[in-house]
Amino acid sequence: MKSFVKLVNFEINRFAKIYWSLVAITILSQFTSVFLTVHCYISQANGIVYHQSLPTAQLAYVKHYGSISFIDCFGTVWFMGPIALCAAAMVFYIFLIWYRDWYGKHTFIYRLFMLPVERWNLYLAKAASILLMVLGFIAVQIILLPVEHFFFNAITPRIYRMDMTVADAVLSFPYFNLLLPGAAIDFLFHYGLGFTVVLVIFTAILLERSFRMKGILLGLLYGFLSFVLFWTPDFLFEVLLPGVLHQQELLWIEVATTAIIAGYSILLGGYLIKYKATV
Amino acid sequence: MGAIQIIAEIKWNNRDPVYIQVIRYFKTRIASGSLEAGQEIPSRRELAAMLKINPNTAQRAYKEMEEQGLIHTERNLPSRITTDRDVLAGVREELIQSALADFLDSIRPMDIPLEELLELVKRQYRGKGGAGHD
Amino acid sequence: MIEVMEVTKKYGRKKVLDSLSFTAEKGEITCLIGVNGTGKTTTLKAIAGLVPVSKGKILIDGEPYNKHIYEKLAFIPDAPIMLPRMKIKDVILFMRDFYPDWNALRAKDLFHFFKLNENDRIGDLSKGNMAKVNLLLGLSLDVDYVLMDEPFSGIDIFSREQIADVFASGLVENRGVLITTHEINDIEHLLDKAVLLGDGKVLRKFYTEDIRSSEGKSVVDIMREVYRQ
Repeated sequence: MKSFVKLVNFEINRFAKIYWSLVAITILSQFTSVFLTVHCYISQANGIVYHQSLPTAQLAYVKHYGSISFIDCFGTVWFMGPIALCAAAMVFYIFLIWYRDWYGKHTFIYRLFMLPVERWNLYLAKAASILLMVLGFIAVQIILLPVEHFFFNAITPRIYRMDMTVADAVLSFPYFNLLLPGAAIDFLFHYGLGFTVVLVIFTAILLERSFRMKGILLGLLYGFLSFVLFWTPDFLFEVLLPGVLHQQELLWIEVATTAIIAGYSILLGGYLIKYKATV
Repeated sequence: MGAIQIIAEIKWNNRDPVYIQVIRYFKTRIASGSLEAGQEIPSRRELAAMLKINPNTAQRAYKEMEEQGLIHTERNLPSRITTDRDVLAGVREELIQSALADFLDSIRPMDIPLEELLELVKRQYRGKGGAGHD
Repeated sequence: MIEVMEVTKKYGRKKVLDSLSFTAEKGEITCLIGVNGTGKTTTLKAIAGLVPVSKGKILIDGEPYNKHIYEKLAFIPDAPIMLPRMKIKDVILFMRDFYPDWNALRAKDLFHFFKLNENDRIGDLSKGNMAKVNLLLGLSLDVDYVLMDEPFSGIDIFSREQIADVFASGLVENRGVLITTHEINDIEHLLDKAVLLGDGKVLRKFYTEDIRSSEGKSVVDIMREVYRQ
């Protein structure tokens, strides 16, 4: 257990520089988004309103063109861009976290393999690191939103604003409910599924590292079979035998299936890294 | 430590067992008097480090020298050169005979008469400032 | 004792190791000799549990591969394996953190003996200094067996001498040392046992002093005989 924690700590520290750079970019970029969105709206409004008597003109403007709300800041490249960037970086790193140890300037995998720990710790530590880093990004976003909201309120004249709570803004925006689902249980489902995908990819990578050329095919096959298994309950109970199960029941079966996929990915991955993977 | 430092840049002949060469080195130093009777010698491990050899080689050399009576090791005390005069004299004798045999083997094909050979030896010996004998 | 028993390793259809059998005893310095590409490095990696074998068995003190072998053996590779951006002091901390049998005192002694600078980054080290760091890392572990891959290759003569001194010192005493090399000229006198490999097979194996006693030949002589075909 101690070794596991040390490994996770080590893995996270290795990525720390890039990680915090991404966080910094996200902060800067999203605040820029808020600023630009508001600025743009006000400029436009000023263009039409400026030569008339202010409050009435502004009200008229709002009536005609609509007010601005916090949610309007979301749909920009400045706001969504960094999220996409962090997501892309994470996807990249899911592969890179393994391959950098084999193909880095120095083959660090030798050192990792020769640590006096059960080898599956290496597998789990990398998975845990990815999970923690993703959750970290989510946490950063969750913390940022109220601050951005405050900033938005501060720079937008009351008369143009349509007030909404942060929660409302988040729940109303299409892509956000994927990343920040409202209900805790949905959060678990989404991220549990995401974590399982990571595990499947990890095991596929280890298949490649164990069998090289053949391994790529095995890895793809493994990914495909896991995918099929995942969709089997859905196919079975929605298409072939509709009405047999309630939505709730089907959902729990899907959760169980996901857990099974995660479970055997870990077992297979653990086996491969101990007995089959080669430097 | 007490024991003398045996630091030598010995050029190892890889065709003869190294431990034999170590023994030969000890014998040479005994014969020349730079290793005295009863003198304390380094431990096996120290010798290996000094001569830059495998500790197992040092071990084997000491074992063999022990068996030949050249050194004595009591219990946990450091090894010492023997005090047995006969053994020490025998070593000197052995080395001299061995060197002579080698010398004569190499000079024989030249077919020099003994008188001339002895004369040449005398001159060469004196010229090199030998240790005062004749 | 390290026992390599009928070990075969294939890469695709090519047999890199072909029914290899030999032992390396504790307290002895054993040397795997052969030209580059004959599977010497692969053999060490297989013993170190880094490369699975296709056939055969490898036992360390009678036990097959398990996580405990890294408490019994250390593998010192020919190439650098620590992260290039780590400083030497970071590397030592890493080892101390992960290895319960890390001997900090010995590490310190070796560090001074090799005259290393703790703030040098791994990626900036010369080949000679990298070899010394690898040696330091391997020898500072209180393990019974030390495997070294080409400890003398491509480094300057002074570093070679320092490394050879390590062999003659108490550091390798009571340990089993297994090294590979393709040139043994300067170190032949240090070896206890030689195992000559060719095309992944053991061509000859013998104790060096026995060959010298019985046949009056050096290891280099035997190598000439064996590799002439």
